[in-house]
Amino acid sequence: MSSYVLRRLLQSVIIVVLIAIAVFIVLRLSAGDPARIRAPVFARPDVIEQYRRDFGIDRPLLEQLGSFLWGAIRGDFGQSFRFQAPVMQLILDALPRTLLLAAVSLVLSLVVAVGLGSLAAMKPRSIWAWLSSALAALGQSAPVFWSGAILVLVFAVGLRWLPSGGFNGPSSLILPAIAVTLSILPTQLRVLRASMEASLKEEYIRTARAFGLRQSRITFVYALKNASLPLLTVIGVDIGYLLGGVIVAEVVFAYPGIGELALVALNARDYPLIQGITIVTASTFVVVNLLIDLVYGRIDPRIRLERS
Amino acid sequence: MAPVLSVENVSVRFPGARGDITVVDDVSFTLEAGQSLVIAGESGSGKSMICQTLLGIAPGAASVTGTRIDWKGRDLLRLRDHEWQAIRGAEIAMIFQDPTAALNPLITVENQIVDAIRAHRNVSRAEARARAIEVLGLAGFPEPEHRMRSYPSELSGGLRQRVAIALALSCSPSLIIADEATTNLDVSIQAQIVKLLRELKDRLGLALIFVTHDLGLASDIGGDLLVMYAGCAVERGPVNDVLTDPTHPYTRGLLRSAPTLKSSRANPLRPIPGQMPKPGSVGAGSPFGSRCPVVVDGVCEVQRAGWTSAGPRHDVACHRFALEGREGVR
Ligand SMILES: Nc1ncnc2c1ncn2[C@@H]1O[C@H](COP(=O)(O)OP(=O)(O)O)[C@@H](O)[C@H]1O
Ligand code: SF4
Ligand SMILES: [Mg+2]
Repeated sequence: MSSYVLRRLLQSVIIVVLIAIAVFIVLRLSAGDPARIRAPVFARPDVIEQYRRDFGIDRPLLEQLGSFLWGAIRGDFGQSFRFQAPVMQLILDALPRTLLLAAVSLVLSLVVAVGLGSLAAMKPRSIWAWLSSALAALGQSAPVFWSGAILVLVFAVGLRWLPSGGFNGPSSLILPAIAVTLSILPTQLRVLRASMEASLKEEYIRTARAFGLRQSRITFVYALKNASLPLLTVIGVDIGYLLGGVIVAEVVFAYPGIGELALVALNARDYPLIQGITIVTASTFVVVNLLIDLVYGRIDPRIRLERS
Repeated sequence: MAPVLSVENVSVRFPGARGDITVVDDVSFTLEAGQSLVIAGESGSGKSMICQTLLGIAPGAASVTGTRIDWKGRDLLRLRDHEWQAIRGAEIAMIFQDPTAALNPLITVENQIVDAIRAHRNVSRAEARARAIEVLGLAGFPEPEHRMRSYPSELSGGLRQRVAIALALSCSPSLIIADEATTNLDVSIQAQIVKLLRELKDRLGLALIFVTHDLGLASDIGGDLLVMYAGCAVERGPVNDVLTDPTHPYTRGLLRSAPTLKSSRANPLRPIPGQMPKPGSVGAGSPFGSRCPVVVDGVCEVQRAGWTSAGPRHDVACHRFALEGREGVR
């Protein structure tokens, strides 16, 4: 088991390094010169050259790559061009809010998917089954920027119940979380419902019934445990989708997280900040996937057996 | 002594494209406390359906009808959900055919047994755990204290079936139904499990319904035997009487085709030609008509035979036997 974890960790590190190199190259290939963007319009060439020297982008590319990677290993992503502050500090400032939004959305969608999906699987002709299909269809057809805009219009502008954006305490979290949840819910709901339907047909469910277990225990322990495995897989795959949704929601709701920071960084061609954000996001993605993998092994003894 | 279980004229039907399909056809039997009943018949003859009816767990599509299933004074054909819940596992427990599919793969042996106990008894986890160790011991599960933390996938098939038996014993039921509980096991383990079930029955005073498609196991269990064919009961009586003196042409054919039985040694191995009819294709006549070597023309095709006595507590449902006795079915 532990050698399995080590192998997976090593894999993860390699993936993140490759992503770091890729983003470095793509940035240098893409149009836009950070020095020109930073300098006043019609600045003299020597002013622009001065910015180049300050940013360190006058040095040979390989040297830049080397010092970027060496810094990244020590957790130093350099100075932001745009904010003139350490990239790490800017990220550490914004990341908790992003993770909070992602976590709240994920928990919310999991609760709805498990609750509604289980009820729909148990009672295929009930209002729950109908509601579950409706929510899945709604979420499927509404991208985050669209549902986000509608939510703002109704609950912030129209009803004035909730703030339309920014970050002032928990109430700022509600609308963005709902928008993100709506976007990741459909897959989770469908997968959970289908695997729950399959699980409820298994013989071990008949056994549980034959021994007089209560229906709630049968559904939410005996069937759900088995039905949760496909859901976990989906979450692993969906983490990228979730982060993407969170970033869009941050922009729509002017929510000060990594997504908003990334937008500013992109516009300023702020190489160090973009690189830092990419590495942190990629690491989060990889770590979450690793965690899901380990949880999978904890739930299913057959997988644990296979790995050792 | 009054029977603890009395099944009267029970039928099970499934809706089919052309009308209902009858898979259990007007079956009756009784069982006394602490006694055993072997239900034998080919695969598809309706044995599992009868068992599931006794626990109210027949598939949702099945319609179960009958005069009465009397269980200790209550009618199992007319129970509410919560009344069923109180009986399942606590008064009547079932051991299923395939322990690999019947046990939850993601829950430890310990927790599955503890859950079954706590579904009926208001006891602490520790008490339930102690009881789990006790019943695992009774079922011959080695080192229960620490091996019960295993998951079913970590155990051999034989051990899994011992877990299923422990599960069945956990709430001290007065009837255990073993539905082909030994079919999926190796022959040597099969013999151990049959022996275990018989010992547990005697030691704990359980009634036992042992379902098998292998008549050879019937004499190892003892008690009464009910022979099923295409959803119908065709012969019933004490196991030894039926095996040494089979009177229904189907039972006789089965015994001739089973090489391990004493009574078959005298006869050459001669399996019954033909196949059991598909459910629903048996009309009003004898279910065995299509394969019967001694069919009574003009009678067997149109009318089902009623019970005729073939000895003390030994009955057979056959027109030929009713007309001519033992000579007729020889
Ligand atoms: N869910 C179901 N729907 C329709 N027919 C079924 C269903 N389950 C079982 N049957 C039919 O009922 C008959 C009896 O099955 P079963 O009781 O399992 O036989 P046995 O246990 O003797 O092998 C079989 O012919 C089978 O095809
Ligand atoms: S003689 Fe008639 S009733 Fe008896 S088994 Fe043959 S077909 Fe059935
Ligand atoms: Mg069966």
